Amino acid sequence: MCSKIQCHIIPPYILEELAKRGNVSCKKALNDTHRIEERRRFALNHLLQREEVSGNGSRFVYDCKNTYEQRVSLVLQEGENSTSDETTNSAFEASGFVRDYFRNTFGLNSIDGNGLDIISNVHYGIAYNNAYWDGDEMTYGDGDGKEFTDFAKAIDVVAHELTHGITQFLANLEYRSQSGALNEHFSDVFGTVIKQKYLQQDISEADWLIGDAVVTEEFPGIAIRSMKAPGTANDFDTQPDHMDNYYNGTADNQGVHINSGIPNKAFYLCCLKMGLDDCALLWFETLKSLWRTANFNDMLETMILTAQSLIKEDKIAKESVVVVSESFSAVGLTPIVA
Amino acid sequence: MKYKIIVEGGFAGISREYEGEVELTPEETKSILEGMKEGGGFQNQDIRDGFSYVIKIENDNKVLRRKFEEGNMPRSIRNFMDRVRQTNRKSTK
Repeated sequence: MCSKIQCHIIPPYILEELAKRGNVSCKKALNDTHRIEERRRFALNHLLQREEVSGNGSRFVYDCKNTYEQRVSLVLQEGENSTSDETTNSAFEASGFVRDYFRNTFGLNSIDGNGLDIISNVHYGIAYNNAYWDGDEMTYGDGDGKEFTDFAKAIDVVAHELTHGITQFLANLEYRSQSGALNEHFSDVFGTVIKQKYLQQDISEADWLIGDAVVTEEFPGIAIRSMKAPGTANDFDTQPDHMDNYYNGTADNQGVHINSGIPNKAFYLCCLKMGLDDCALLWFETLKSLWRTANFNDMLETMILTAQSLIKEDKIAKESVVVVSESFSAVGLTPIVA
Repeated sequence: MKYKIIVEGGFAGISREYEGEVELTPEETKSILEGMKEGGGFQNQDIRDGFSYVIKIENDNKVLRRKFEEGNMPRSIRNFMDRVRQTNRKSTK
């Protein structure tokens, strides 16, 4: 047996190997150790120790007032009425929808499973063309109005960023190379799932686009990414949809936003045959079993094992293993099914 | 002052490159040079979808090159970035 305390003296490479073999406590120790190290470094550098407290996933929205500072002015929190600012209201509503989806569908209590407060910063910077998760909270720019518009108003963007938080606490996938592409992939998966739920679409009606609501007419494309057809969303979209075209360069943390196109396409193909809800459950349960350095093959191997367990529990269709195998084979990743 | 700036990452994952020359007051130049020397220290490894910025400037025949992340960019460099972006919107790699 390997308790959390015992695992702390075991070298990380052994923890990783044990995690790969399904040792849950080792996986947790590995993820926790890395996260704690990061927190300590962060605290030392900022001379500020943030305490972890349990909560109920309360939402807080701060207005950055177009500065590059977070938490400048608290403008909306749980239990309060909406404000006169549409961006604030959108960030509040969307983060609540995402929180409720994960809670009602998978029983996950907020981002960390322990009721972490959900903090959103809006109106960040000047014409800032981005949204990001920083390890604690989400931050949204207004966009420059030329190519991009308000990032806080797009449900898939909010779901994508909040899922980065969930991934941090469940698997802490390292943000480079294949583990980083998986980190992006899971954010796109739940971005698109939650977008379809929010818009009350079924998979035949869905556009499978990510970030279509944050690009303007002047932007040379219809969205940021396409799960259905990676590489076609805009003129700069270089996402591959097959391992044959895998990006091996160093840009973008070794292609975290690029190579995510490969599992994204497999997810889309799976959904066509398994349905959105079964796929969402399978992907969520797989994420729970992954570890910091997991690569594409590790994820696929874990997903097959997870699917087999869910089939035994009668939670997903019995054809799911075959569907997953076929979908990933179509993008150049062939699983070994026992 | 000559500059070359490469912005990578972000939610969109679209790289941007800006290159040119700007006229600056001595005070502005001093502030930017100080930012280039002092900033870029601690990196928050938990940031996801954050931009990374590679900034190269050439002033008085001296070249300075630094990489900044979302959380460690000095205010003077932020202001410089905003100025560059406003005058050079369409430069995309």
